[in-house]
Amino acid sequence: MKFIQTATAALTSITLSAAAYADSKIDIKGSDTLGAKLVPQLKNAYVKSNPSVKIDILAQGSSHAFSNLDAGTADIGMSSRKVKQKELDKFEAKGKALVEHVAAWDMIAVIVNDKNPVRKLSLKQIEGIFTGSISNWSEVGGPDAPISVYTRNTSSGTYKSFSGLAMSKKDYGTKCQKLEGNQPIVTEVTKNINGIGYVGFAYAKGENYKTVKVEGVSAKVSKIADYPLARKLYYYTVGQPTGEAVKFLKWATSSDAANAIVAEIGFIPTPVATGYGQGVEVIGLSTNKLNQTSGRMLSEVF
Amino acid sequence: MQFPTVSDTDSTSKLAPSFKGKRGLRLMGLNITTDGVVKGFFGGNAYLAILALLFICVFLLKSGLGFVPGYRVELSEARVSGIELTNKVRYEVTGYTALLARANQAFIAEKRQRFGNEESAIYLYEEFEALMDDEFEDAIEEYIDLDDGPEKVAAEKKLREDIATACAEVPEEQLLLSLARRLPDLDKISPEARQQAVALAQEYAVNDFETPDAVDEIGTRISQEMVVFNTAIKRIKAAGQPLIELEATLTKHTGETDRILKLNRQTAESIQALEEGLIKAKKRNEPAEIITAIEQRLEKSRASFLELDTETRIQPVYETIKNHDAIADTLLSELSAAFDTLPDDLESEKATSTIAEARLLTDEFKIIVAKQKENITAWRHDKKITLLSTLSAFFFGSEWQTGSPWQNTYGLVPLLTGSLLVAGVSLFIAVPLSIGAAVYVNQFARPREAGLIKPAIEFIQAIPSVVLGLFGVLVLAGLLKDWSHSPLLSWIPGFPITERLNVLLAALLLAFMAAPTIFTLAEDALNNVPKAFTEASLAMGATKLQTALRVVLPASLSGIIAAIMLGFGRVVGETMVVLMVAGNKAKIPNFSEGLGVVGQPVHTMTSIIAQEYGEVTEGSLHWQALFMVGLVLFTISLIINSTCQRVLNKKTK
Repeated sequence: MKFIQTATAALTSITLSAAAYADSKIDIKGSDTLGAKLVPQLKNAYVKSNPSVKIDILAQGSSHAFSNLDAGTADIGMSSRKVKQKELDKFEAKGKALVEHVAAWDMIAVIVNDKNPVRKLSLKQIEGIFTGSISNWSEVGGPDAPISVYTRNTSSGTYKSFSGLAMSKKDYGTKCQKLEGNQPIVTEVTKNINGIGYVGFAYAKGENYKTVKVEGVSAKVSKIADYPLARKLYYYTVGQPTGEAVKFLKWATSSDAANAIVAEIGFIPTPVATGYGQGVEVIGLSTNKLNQTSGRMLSEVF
Repeated sequence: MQFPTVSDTDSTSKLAPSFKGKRGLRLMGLNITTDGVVKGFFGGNAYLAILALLFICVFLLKSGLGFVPGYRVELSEARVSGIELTNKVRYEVTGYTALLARANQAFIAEKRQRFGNEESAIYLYEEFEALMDDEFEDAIEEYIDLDDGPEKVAAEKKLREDIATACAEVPEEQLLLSLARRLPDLDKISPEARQQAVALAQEYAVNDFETPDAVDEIGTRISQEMVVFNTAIKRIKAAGQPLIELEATLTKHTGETDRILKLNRQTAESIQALEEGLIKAKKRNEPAEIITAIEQRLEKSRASFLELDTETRIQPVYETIKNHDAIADTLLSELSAAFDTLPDDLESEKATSTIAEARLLTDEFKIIVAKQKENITAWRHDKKITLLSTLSAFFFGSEWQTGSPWQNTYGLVPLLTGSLLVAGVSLFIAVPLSIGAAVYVNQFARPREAGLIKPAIEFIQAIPSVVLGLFGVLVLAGLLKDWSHSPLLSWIPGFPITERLNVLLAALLLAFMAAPTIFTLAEDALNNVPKAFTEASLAMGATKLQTALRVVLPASLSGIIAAIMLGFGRVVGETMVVLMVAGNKAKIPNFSEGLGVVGQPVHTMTSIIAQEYGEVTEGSLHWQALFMVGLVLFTISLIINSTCQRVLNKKTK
């Protein structure tokens, strides 16, 4: 009996609280690069000062951002890459515009085991290692040992960004071992003395592995202008955002409090990285920018 | 209280009435009784299973089969644009790069052996450069920001002094440790090299973090000392340039054709989507501005079709490829000549063996070139891609390359071999263990012993596979790698292993998971052997062991085979563990290593689906390809299960 009472009470309170917040709820869905740590922490801070807002986050991968925005089940989509033409079609077919907001900057750090004496690599060497034409550490000034290459898997936005930034868009070599996320790559590199991999900036510092300099530039926030492997992360909305979503987005991309969180998690806040405006760029129907390039986005997507 | 006994003749008639047909509820001409409802419920459940199975089959077929025409289109585009031809040249370039890399490695090994002392200055400098980055960053930036003048001169002097002191403070052991992995023979750091490295580090600091050219000059100077070897390497390098240039030209041209073809296909898709959207919008009576917006977009898409005549675009490709045979012949003769000029008296053993490998690779390269020459001559861009060749490209394709900026290829073989290899090795481990355990528990164990062992083995099944996977990645992988380097275990195939994540690790964990399945079923099969067999055998004077091995085991063989097959099904279908520990390298394992193949990482059918499903666009070719893999997996399981049933049925006959 007592159990039933408690259960009823719990149920009622859940229903009540859901009803109370129902009118100011933001659904955020998409990339796990953003959704794993950054957005949940932004949410916590935001909800603390705006207790009437309820924010739901679901991080399943960048593609889910667009399918959910299209279905109307998300207010904000998170993506670690730019939208693809095929995804954009779905919005355009309904006469909707997709608006892009730069969430933060990320630097992809190339990491090796800390017992590995190699401290710097050129882009050409990185390309050789990841495409498979360089297979021994001695070819890049290291010990005489085979290289074990660890990469993210093909569905990851980072996988494609890295291929575009560091490998002149060449194919990964067949020797690469594809791992599930940043942490598994870190684990393998710390445990394999001959390992090399790449991770997001948040994972660039840690025990038993080190970040190599790329083209002589270390992966440091102060060097972002020169570091060759820097990329943007995005929020997407359908049309210009409205209601709570616009307040949250504005806060998340420009307020000092949010920037502090962004930096703490290990991304680089947009103002720090670029210093240009609020980073909003409209693509799709409501702009001519895309049309000038005959409606193609593909070549920009990596 | 009274309990009905077995001998109670009335008991059946007493219990029966509740199941007898009472006059039930009449509804719409149907007589609904409790019995009928219960029967219907059970029957419905049974048929639901069949319905679900059918539904899954239809879904898999529908999603997977769309892959074949889609892939055919992509393959046709690859042929028409000439990408297919470029791939053949690329294949040669890969072979050449491999032998060049080997020759380079030999050169480096020899260089380190002979000029390790001089070279150590470069490596020392790198250590000091890292020191500058870590500890002198602020000081250096402060100095750089100073205006020219006497102040700056003084600052430079101080900076140089500080750097010299800091570098001198680095303990020699620490530096040696870093050098030892590259120069194993070096036991002492020469003071000259150290001095030189410090001077270079000072240059680096005062020149705003620019690595001084002098560093490269040391390397160049050493290379010049090894003049014969160096010339030979340079010759090998130069020999390949024409082929690499040919590949680059082809890549640029055919890649552009392919890009336009793809863009046009995309535009067609866009137009289709927009047209459908327009019809829907009109049906819904959307506001006029939305409809005009869609119409405008549609017009733009229609206008953005790019002109492309594949026939004219392919002509330059044929022109270019004409040179291929000549280029390849010169390359081969140049290679032979260059290898002949290599010095015979190499000091480093490593260099000698690496050169031997390079020579072997050169022989392989010759075979590759001979084959590709034929392929290239026979290649025609207008030969149609048939349905059959599309299917064989999938089922016998040796490469699974997705998310590629060049060409996505969906070849099943690397995944299939990976799956079968992992499953095979794990059964090799699990079968003797679990059958042995089953025979022991069934034939020899005392009841109390069996009461302990059976639940314990069956409990293994309750361990979630992700937990096993974590255990594998975090604990077993490291242990296995460490053990593999022990000389006591070097007889095991694949040992010592170089990759932490590999077939053997996955097979070990999977064997652990399959063992309970095989054990339980095999034990059941042994149990089903009639007691009379055992008794007759014992009565004839056979020992317990003879009875178990010669009578009971053969009698239950079909059941045991079924148990093994179901174990195989369990292993082939397992996802989480292989995803975490098999290494996910989508390449056909190198079987030339013999049994050592178990030390290599592989990718499997289950893990490719789990890994790539996450972000593929729904309905895309890649998405369909994953369903095709699922279909193959499903078929394998279906075959295993039906064979099992046939084997078991044979026995009961």
